[in-house]
Amino acid sequence: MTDEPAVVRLRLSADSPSALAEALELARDDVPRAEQMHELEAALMPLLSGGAKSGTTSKLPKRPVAAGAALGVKLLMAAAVAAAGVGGALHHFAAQSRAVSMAVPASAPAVPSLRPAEPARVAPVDEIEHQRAPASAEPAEAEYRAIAHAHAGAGVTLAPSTETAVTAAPTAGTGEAVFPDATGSAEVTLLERAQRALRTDPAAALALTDEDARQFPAGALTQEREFVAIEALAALGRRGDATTRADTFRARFPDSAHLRRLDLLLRPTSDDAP
Amino acid sequence: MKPLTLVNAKIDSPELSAQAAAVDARPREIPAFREIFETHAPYVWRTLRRLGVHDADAKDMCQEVFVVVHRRLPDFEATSSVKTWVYGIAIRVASQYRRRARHRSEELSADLPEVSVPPEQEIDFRRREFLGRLDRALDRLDHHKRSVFVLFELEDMTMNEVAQTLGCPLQTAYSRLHAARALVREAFASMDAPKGDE
Repeated sequence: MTDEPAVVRLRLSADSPSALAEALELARDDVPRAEQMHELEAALMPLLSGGAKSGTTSKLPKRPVAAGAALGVKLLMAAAVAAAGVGGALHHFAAQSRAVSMAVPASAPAVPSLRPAEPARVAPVDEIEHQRAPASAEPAEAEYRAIAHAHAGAGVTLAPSTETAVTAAPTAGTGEAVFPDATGSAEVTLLERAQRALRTDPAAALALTDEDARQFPAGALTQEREFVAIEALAALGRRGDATTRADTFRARFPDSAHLRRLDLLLRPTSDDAP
Repeated sequence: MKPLTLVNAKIDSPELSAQAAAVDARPREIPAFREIFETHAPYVWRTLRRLGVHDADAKDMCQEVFVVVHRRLPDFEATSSVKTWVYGIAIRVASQYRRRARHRSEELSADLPEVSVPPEQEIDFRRREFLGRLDRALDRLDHHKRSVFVLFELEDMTMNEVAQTLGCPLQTAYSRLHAARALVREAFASMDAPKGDE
């Protein structure tokens, strides 16, 4: 090994050009915004709700998605509320939950009924892979196969590529899938309004988050509400309040996916210097 | 088959062996999909962006990564870390994306805003400029060098993890890092009169 065994990262290295070090530092902070994460969560929601036991470790069943989906819409929608967030995702969820609520009494398969809610659905794997690279589907498969081998060792049996993500799963056909969202959708609506107000009227956004906290002190979207409130405080120039609230947020949700974004939001700018 | 990293670490410094041991010491239980998602999604997103995935496509590509993760999870055997496995999938998704993007490069470079951040935030001007410069520098690298650079410099992987993620020998990963750094430095030097654009 002739090359440096203990290489100092460029952004931490004294002899890096400062522009490069700063660019790398900023790139470290370039994580998705909260609403982007929520949209992603929304898109993956059927997978996230299928057999998910957050905080636990378990080997998933061989066909976890089909099994998860067959559990019924109730689980799916409960997860929808839990996973719903601010911004566009909220809108999709509102539309989606309405679509599902309407579809449930009929005997039609409930999951395929999500299809009209285009932005939030997860396409079957094959559909994704084929629509994006019809000519390179084979190499793609080979690449995944290669990496599976590299990581899982020889003799791995890969799932057949005809396996679909979620939409192929038939529903259990029970009529008990009722979306318990009287509370959830109201909370979503309120937060959605707060999120919308954020850009134009942060004071109103902050008031809406206060209202949300009053109405839903233990709501499923507490993190999202707090994040919007902190954004509103920052937008109002109340950096001290924003920082204090952010500290509480960090203590309360130490594993939150919003933390990086929070850091970026409250990062001191050169303008802060007196 | 043992992970490459363990094989290669034997010829390496004590520090690298320690890194390999750290990799090796990961719990053997396979986390649930949600846990994997929550742990890695923001950073997979960040990685995809620096690997050349446009902001407007980042969500879709990140979704694609985790759809594959979900599909492959039952077959994942925890002989290596989940992290390097997930990032390995991300690297391949980004590679495919860039191949496709070459066929529609005019669409990519033309209409879409590069960083869709709220414009009222002061910091975004600086972010935009610096990230733009970094991306232009990274665009000069081939996918292999770019991947090594991003995983090491931004994702803070050890070089053993980088090699494991990319399925290449450790020495190769080092060579690529070395070459990538030289090219990035050179690119920054040539851009160093900051005018905000090229």
